[in-house]
Amino acid sequence: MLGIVGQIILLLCIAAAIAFFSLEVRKRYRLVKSGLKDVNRLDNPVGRLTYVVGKVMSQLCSIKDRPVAGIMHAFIFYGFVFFSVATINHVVGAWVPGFSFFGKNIVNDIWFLGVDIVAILCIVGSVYMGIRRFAVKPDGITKPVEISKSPQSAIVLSFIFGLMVTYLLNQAAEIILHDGQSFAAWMPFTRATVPLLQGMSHSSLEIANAVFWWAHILMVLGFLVFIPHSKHFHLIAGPINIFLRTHEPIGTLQKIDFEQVEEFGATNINQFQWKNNLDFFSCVDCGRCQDVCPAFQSDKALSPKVVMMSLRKHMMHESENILGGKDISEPIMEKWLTQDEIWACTTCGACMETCPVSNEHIPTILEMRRAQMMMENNFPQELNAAFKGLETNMNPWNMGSSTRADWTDGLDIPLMSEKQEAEYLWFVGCSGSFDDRGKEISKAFAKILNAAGVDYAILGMEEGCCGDPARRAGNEYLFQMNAEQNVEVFKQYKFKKIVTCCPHGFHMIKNEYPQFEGHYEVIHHTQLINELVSSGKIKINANGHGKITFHDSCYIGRYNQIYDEPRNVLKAASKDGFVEMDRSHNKSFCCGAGGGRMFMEETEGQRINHIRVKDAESCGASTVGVACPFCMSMFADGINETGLEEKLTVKDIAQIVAESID
Amino acid sequence: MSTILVVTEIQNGELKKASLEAVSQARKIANGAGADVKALVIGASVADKASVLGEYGADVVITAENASLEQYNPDVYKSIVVKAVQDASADTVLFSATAQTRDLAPRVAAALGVTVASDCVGINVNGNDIVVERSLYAGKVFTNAQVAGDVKVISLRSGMFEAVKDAKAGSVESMDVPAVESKITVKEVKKTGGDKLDVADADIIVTGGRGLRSAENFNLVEELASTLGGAVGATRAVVDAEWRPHDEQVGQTGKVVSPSLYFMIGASGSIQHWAGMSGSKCIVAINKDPEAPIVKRADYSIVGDLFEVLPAVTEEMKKLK
Repeated sequence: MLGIVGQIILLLCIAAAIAFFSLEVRKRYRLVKSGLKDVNRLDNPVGRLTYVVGKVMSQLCSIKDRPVAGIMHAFIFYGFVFFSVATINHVVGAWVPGFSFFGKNIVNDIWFLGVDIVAILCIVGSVYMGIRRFAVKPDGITKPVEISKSPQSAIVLSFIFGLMVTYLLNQAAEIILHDGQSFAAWMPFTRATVPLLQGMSHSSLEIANAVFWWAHILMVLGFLVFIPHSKHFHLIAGPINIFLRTHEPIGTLQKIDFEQVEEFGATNINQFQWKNNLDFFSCVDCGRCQDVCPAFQSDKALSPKVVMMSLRKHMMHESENILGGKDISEPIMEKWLTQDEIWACTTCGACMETCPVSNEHIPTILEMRRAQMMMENNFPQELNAAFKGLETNMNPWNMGSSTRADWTDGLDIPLMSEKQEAEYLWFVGCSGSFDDRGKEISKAFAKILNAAGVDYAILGMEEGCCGDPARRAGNEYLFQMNAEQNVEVFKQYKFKKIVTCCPHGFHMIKNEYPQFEGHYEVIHHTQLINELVSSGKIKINANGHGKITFHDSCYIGRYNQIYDEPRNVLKAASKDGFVEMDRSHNKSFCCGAGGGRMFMEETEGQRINHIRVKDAESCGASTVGVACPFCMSMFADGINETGLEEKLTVKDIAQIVAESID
Repeated sequence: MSTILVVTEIQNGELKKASLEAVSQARKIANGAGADVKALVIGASVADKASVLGEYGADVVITAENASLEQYNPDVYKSIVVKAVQDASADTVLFSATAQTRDLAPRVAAALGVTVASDCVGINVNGNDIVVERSLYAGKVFTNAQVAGDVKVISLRSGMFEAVKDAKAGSVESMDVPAVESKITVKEVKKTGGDKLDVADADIIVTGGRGLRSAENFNLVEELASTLGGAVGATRAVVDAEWRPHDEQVGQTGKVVSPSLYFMIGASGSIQHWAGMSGSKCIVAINKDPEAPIVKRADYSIVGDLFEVLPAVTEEMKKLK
């Protein structure tokens, strides 16, 4: 118990800390709320809550991609959980001597055994984190140097370390002063601290105890005030952000309603949706995203971490204007982010997959692309050729749209316009129709379908680009034209499912065409082939391809969780065995062609496809199986350009299977 | 129809080929309709152009000559053309559809208060009626349109009309350049790529790919290009490897070209490249792989080692010259 003066001082400190904390939190709440309308993020609240509690309490959010640092983080996290009750006891104890939240019982004993253990674990964790950040310096947290250097981490780690030390010393002093062996029976580490203080005189021990007591509570309050100002705001925003995470596949973009909206995308910081804003405040600056980002890893300007950090800084810088309803003083480009950064994204989704607080980087980056494309007319000029092609001939290479079905010459491939009805509508896609390599995939897939007696038809000249390159490059208007045209064509025919060879068309029609009243059951050709093989409709004789590996395409893998089907097929088709690359499944590394990058120059840093080709080479495979015509292009070029023609071949799964059914 | 005025264009001191096509086409129409052809030439030093224009069928060559006319200026050029139309009482004005015309012809038409038919691929004259043919939807359909107005302003797509000689007097009339206040001053004209022929302008292009194995080996490509008076082109892979500069890159993310003759040497011809050169009139491939896409698509293909084939081709071309 404190004297009356102490009680008053403590009360004032607590009131001040809560006031400062609340004001700062309220400011951030209002900034988040000032964002534009977003989709409903409160559907299935029970499911959302279960997910967030499970994820946070298990600490898998932190542990899954960085096990060691994640476990250290878990130590500190559980420290906060256990110390909540210890802090209540600590504060109320200023008025009620010996106050115990749980009372004097076994629950209290067990809880404080927990406190005792986590106190030590927190010391271990904070020392580990300090060594890691300031001595080991892994790239993820220390690069890019400019934006990553900040005293925040040092302050917070000292707070945590200090809190634990003062707690232990305070408790040890209590044991000596009040002969507290009984209450400390369950506190082995506290008791182990006692010898440090033995030998002090009673009076100096009392003074020391008061110092420990006050130091501890003042640090708690100081930490409270500091939290909202720092990345440690994730303590509050992180779980909320995970709760509000999107239920749509990674990277799915929202429709712009051109009838209603006057300005497109985000030129200014106040033009993001409110959930994007919450992302900025939830970001922990941990850099897991940039560790897996193909752009950052190939030395390009973009880091998803920097996008979040810069926009958060920008938002705080403009907070008075935003909250005061005044004009924003400067646009995002070029001061806060640069053109090179936003155009380097391949939309592969690796950042979103790994983010411990479920941030959605891709929609944020693409909102900025939309603004640069549609409002500012500022985009990589080589995209013009692709857009022109999409406008005039509905394919990015501007090949005559009347030649779209020319690849079928001499083959027995039915047209929807002749059949009117089929079980499968095969959406061939632009690569499959025009690109020589893509056409080989189409021919192989046709051979499989014919061999299995599948009832299918293609659209031929009536088909147009799915619109993925246009939408990912921010040209929403052109995309909507493509999508609406295709939906109109689909409406004319009867079919049960749509099958595509291209993951981009697959994702677009399955997940983004519903925005245009196009609701279809869509499957990827790897799924259909797997079904045909496993049901015995096609018999394959395993061929010698040498060891075979599989490159997961972002748009069927991370976007749509198709991981096993292609592997089953490859394992059945190869007699020399299957090997995985180091980076596979949801950790697969993009080929570099997504997000419209297929139609842009790659001049900065290394070429992403060269990095990925080396992954394939080093796993010991001699054939790379792919399931995407863009990946096919990037691999074929990459193999050529790195001089690995003799060691490595790339083939689509359809080609590998078609060769095995002769 | 009594007088056709053809507005010609000078680039790097030479009359553009497209201008000769327009003069020649005007001559053809005039022969049928019994009209005069007057050719307007604007520039700093144009006197020597009259004889050429006469050869292609100009009865009269109107020269607007002045040191300040070296560079194109929309206000000044427009006033000159309008004055020439009025002085010559022309009822038809023909341009070739160049970049400059895209800017100039609408200004002239607006000043005359008439319409403009741009980028025409065909033209039919019947008495006073002129019907032009234009291409729509990237060449998928053609429309025929009758040109309205007292003065008919028409631009002809270059390469669609033949430039044939049909010599006429080509007598020179020099006109006074009207004094015009212009808000526009041309400060400098910047060119990339220096003196060498730009791939986008070249009529013959020799493109090399990774099959050349090194930057040094491009001298083989350069040799063929210079023998033929053509330009050197490059694939993306070659530019990426820094064997060639980016301004030589042909393809989706480089330049889009449509020369008369396109050589593709040691490159497979990916769709990204094809998108930039599929408009070439004649494509010749030299490649060791008979399965390479370009070999199947080219008009002529030589399957073999380029290090043997290419010098032999260059040698033969030298003999032909």
